[in-house]
Amino acid sequence: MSKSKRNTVDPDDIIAAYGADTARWFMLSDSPPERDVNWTEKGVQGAWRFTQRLWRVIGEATEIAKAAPAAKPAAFGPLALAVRKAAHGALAKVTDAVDKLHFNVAVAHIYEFTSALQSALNDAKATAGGKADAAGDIAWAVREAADILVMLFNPMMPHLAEECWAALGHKTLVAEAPWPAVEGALLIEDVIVLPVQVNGKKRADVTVPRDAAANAVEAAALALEPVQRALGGKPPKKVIVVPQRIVNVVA
Amino acid sequence: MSTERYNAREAEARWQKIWDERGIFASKNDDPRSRYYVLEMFPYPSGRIHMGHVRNYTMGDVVARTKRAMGFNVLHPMGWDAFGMPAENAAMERKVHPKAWTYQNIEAMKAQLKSMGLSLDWARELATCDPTYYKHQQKMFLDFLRAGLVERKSSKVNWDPVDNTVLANEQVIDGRGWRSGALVEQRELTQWFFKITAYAQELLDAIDTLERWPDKVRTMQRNWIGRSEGLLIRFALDPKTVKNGESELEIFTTRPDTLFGAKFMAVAPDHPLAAAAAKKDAKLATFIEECKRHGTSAEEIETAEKMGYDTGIRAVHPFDPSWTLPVYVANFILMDYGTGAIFGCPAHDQRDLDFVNKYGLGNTPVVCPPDVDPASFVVIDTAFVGDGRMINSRFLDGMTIAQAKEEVAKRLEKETRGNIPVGERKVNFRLRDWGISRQRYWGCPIPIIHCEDCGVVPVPDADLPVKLPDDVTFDKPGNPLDRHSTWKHVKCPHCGKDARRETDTMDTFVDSSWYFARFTDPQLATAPTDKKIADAWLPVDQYIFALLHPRDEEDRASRPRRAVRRPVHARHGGARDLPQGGRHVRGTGGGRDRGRGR
Ligand SMILES: [Zn+2]
Repeated sequence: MSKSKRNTVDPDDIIAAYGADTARWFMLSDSPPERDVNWTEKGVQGAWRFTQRLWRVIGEATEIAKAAPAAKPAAFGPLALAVRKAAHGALAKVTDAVDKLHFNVAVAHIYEFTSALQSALNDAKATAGGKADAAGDIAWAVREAADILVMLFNPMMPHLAEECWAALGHKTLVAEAPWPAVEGALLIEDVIVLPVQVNGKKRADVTVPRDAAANAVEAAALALEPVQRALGGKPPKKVIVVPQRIVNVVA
Repeated sequence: MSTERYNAREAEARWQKIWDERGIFASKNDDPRSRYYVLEMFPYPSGRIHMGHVRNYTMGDVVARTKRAMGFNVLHPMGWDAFGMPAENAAMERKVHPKAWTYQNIEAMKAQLKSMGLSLDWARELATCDPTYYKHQQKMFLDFLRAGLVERKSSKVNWDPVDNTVLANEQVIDGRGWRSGALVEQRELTQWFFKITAYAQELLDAIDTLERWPDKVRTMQRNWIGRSEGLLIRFALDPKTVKNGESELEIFTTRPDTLFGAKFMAVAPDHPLAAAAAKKDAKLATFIEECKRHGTSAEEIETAEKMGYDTGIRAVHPFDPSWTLPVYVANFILMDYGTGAIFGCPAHDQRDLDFVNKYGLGNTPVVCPPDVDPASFVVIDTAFVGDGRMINSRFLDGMTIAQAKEEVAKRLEKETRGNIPVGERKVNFRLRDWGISRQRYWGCPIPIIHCEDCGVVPVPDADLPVKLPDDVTFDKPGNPLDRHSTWKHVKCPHCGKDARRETDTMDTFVDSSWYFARFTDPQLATAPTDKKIADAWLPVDQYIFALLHPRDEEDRASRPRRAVRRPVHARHGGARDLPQGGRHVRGTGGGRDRGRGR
């Protein structure tokens, strides 16, 4: 839509129909600051649906977070760790994007983090297996992630953020809450990428945890489609894993 | 688990009330934490906010809220750029007083902004039409006057004879007033000017330091200042061809290297030589009148067909007494650039080439591009403006452009006529002094009294503000202040005799030149700012503005900041200091409505 058309959309109408937060979110999400916004009904409805989605995700997170211990657990299991990594990763990226005024990038990271939190909540419910309470480490990580999510979208959608903040049980205003600190250790990518050679010719890369055992690396390498193709369906004669370096497959 | 839908309408009003009651967005000047100042271009109270405003203010709000969470003492104010023509137009068309119209609009827009949930410190709200604001602006005007930075001089203006008002260049469309449709006249008018040209070099130098500004804006600012190094050259006039005893024509050129490619001379329609020649040439007089009917904006000059009139006067080439050049009056030469006169070298200037092609004056290339055989190099309808070596230029042949410029300057500096050098190196700026007089009611009154005996007398500081009268009429065109029955009649503060007030008001861009500084201490009654407080907050850390039109961009991005510095109210008071270290983002829309009078 052209600029002139955009200017004929009355902000009052948008705010009355969808709320100020939806209008604000849409305005930030569409394009970088130096470009014009393409105002579309579909776009604004998408923004509105996202406000409802955040409200549901925070609602679910609140339920799980009820089981959170007051003190930070000493150790976190894989699911809790994944939640924490997603939260701190988003925190670092959104902080950086806002600092660079890349609001549309910040918005994209918030979408991504919301999806990650949603699937973690689903996993947490599945893990709890119908029992009322998730494990303490997961509950604690979910609470932390929900707090971070609300903090991150607060500058864009401050009313919804206050509502979510209160739902999470905070007695203060999110408008007065301090920006969360990133735990740097959670940002370290704990995976490595190794080249996979078949008979001396590189066929693929395999991504594995840095501390993966040799047999786990071998299994991951052999499972790759290009490696399978190179082997022509036959089992390899020999697989040599050089830790942190390379996987050599002899057909 | 919460299953009900989020009700934005109910929740938003509730949280806005809570924020408001707790005053959490009010920033205190004595807060010891690090400061962060977020500023959006303040709106003109047109009556409604539009989506462009929503976007800009949301961007600013994201920055403000984030910085607040990060522990900064954030200043995020809002105000109103409230003087200007639309209020007077409303008065004429809808019989509503400009003041009432403006304040109604402010109320309506403020409610709209509040519904957006912006983290603004409304306690710092200001409106430029408020006497508590423009009082300080009047004081600054007087300070500038005392510092020699304000001057009253006569200049050419576009005059709309129906609306009885001065029009900005962009308000002249095809030679007619944008509202009245009347043929615009060029008139001499005595106006007040801010002498911003005194800061041309300083402004230009400062642009280099604005590392975090967008390149596009920096380039526009540089072009707007338009520094060029060149040469003033006094061409002798062939005495046989002049009718009024003129002996020479001074021109300014940035391309003295192309002197041997000269084919003609041209002067502006309002150049004294043109005026003198027109006295004895009725056709020339008609031609000049025709030229004056058209606007003098850069755009119009660029697009208008090049037209000239041969005065019959001949100028002598400075390096060859036997070589004379015809002197034209041309519509594309501006009196207020350089000396209002040029020599035309058509092979290397497109406008000159268009001109000679129309009048059959021919061209001689004097700069040859690299890798081109000089013998075969010709220019037909595209001027060559690139780099190369000098050809067809006698003692300059083979030199680079830079060497040739230097050589010409050196020779002409040494040569004298009447004990004055024929050539003089000169830096020229496109930047003009800022004419701030407007024959309008809804603006800041210029605090001056005219006395027959004492001349121009500043209104004593104690008598500020000079307030606008409320009882004015808009039933007639022209300035309501001028026809008000009593307002302009005052006693001279000097001699006590009957005198009259200045009835011009200031360009509204003066109002928006210092609001960012006023926000730091907006209720201060005794001065525009408290220097210590202003220094603590400025420069603005993040400024968000809209670019609507190159012209607006120029005005908004540079003009507002160029005048406030001298009588020091803040270290970062204006001109070059505001944006230093600060950041600058261009949003969209949300700017001043186009076509608004200045
Ligand atoms: Zn007097």
